[in-house]
Amino acid sequence: MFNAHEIIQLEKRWFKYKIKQKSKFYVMAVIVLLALFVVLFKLSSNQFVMPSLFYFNKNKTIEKQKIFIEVPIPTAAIAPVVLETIPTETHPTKKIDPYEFKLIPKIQANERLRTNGALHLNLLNESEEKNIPVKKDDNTNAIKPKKINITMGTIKIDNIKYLKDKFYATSNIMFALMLAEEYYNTKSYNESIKWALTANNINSQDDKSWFWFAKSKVKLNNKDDAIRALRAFLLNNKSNKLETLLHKIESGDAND
Amino acid sequence: MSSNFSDIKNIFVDGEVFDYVNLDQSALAYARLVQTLDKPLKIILFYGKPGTGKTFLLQKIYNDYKNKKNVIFFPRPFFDEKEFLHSLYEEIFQEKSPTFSGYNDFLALASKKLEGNASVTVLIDEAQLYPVELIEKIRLMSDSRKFKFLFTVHKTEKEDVLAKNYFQTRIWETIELHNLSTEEVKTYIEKKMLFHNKFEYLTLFNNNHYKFLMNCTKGNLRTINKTMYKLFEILEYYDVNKPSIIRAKNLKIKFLEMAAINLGMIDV
Repeated sequence: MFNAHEIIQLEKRWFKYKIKQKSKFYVMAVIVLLALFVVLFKLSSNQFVMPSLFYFNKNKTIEKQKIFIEVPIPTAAIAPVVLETIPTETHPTKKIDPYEFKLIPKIQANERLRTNGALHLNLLNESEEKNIPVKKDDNTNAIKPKKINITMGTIKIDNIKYLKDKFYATSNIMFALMLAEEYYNTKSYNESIKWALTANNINSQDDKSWFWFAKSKVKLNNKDDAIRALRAFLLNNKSNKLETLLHKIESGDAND
Repeated sequence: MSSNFSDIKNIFVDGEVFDYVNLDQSALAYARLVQTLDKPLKIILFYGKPGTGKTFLLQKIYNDYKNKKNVIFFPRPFFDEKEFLHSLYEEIFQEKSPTFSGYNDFLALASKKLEGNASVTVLIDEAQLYPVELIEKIRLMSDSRKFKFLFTVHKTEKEDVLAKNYFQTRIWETIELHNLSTEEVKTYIEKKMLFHNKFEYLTLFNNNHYKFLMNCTKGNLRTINKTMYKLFEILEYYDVNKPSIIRAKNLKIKFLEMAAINLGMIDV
């Protein structure tokens, strides 16, 4: 049988062994925690990068749409319309914006655009038109209603040119999306893709850019690109519109 | 002062108590070894790592068959040829051995005395310790068909050479005994305790203890015995001097660790 001294010595050795054993565990735990911390830190520092439509566009010849803003210059074609409308009431210092003034009533072909609420912000509606203050004649106190001869006619407006001008002026994604839609409607699918990419470049989380991209791809018989793009978007985003489109494409029912 | 653990520790004194524990692989090896006794083989090689229970198995076979067959067991090695021949003669014929001038004398006399087709099976333990010259004589004796030898050797590189160089053409059967698995370690301890009517102490152990034992001893029976002995020796001390720290169930793993440290199985 062991004696007390031997047991005390043995217990000391056992205690040393436990410390050694636990220290290994703690060292490992610290290493694991540090590794975990580093991984989490890296993950948090790397923001989530939205997939871009450019990755899904196989057609490398389509270059990224350059976006530049230029101040719209009144064109000769539109300026006379304005001048003719109020020839004497125009304020001498007021800048003439051909798109701001009284175009709306005459845009017959672009009625669809008017229904878009966003566009109303930039274009005066008819009620506002009525409230345009009429310059008083400084020489007389009485306000004499002047007879204004408004020539009512139909002027063919080039939607695409108009939208492009607005886009270049504002860089607003809405115009890029409209251009994508407009080109799609006119069966210019490559152009539609180009503008979808432009819109996507501005905001890759806007599902409409993915929508027009996918639809145009389908029309160009690149269903796979369309499906891959939609799936990539839906992987991290929710969009009923795109889900429906994806189902349609997959079932071969997206050719409208 | 005596403790309940004083008796239990003696169960695990290696080689002192012959209480063969039937385990899966030892049962299989036993059956194969027994079969070889009836086969017309010259030499059987029974090998395994030290402490796997080869000697115990040979002892059991000898005990079980010494009265039924011509079986002789040499647990201790011989280094001298004459001494070996003398012992062999006395074991076979149960009479005092005459003086032999050499191996041929012995073989002539033994063959004459062994009637008809009678043969003797000689169980040789620790065969790796025998001199090469004596091994060569044993090999020649096996050719006479009057003797069948069962060599028990440790599985080391040296013994493999022995088998290849001297007995390659004569070894007809090789049987290997492996270390125990965790389940067999458990069975071994349970059977040992049951065999000695100490089964009430089995509650001290749970699967963690058996796993620890397996990790420390690598399933080697001899090392298991040593560890268990040391464990009960430690418990004996605490039982006498600090009985409150010993539980009736699920022993603290600390005591097993202390036993392993004391035996140098754990490096502190």
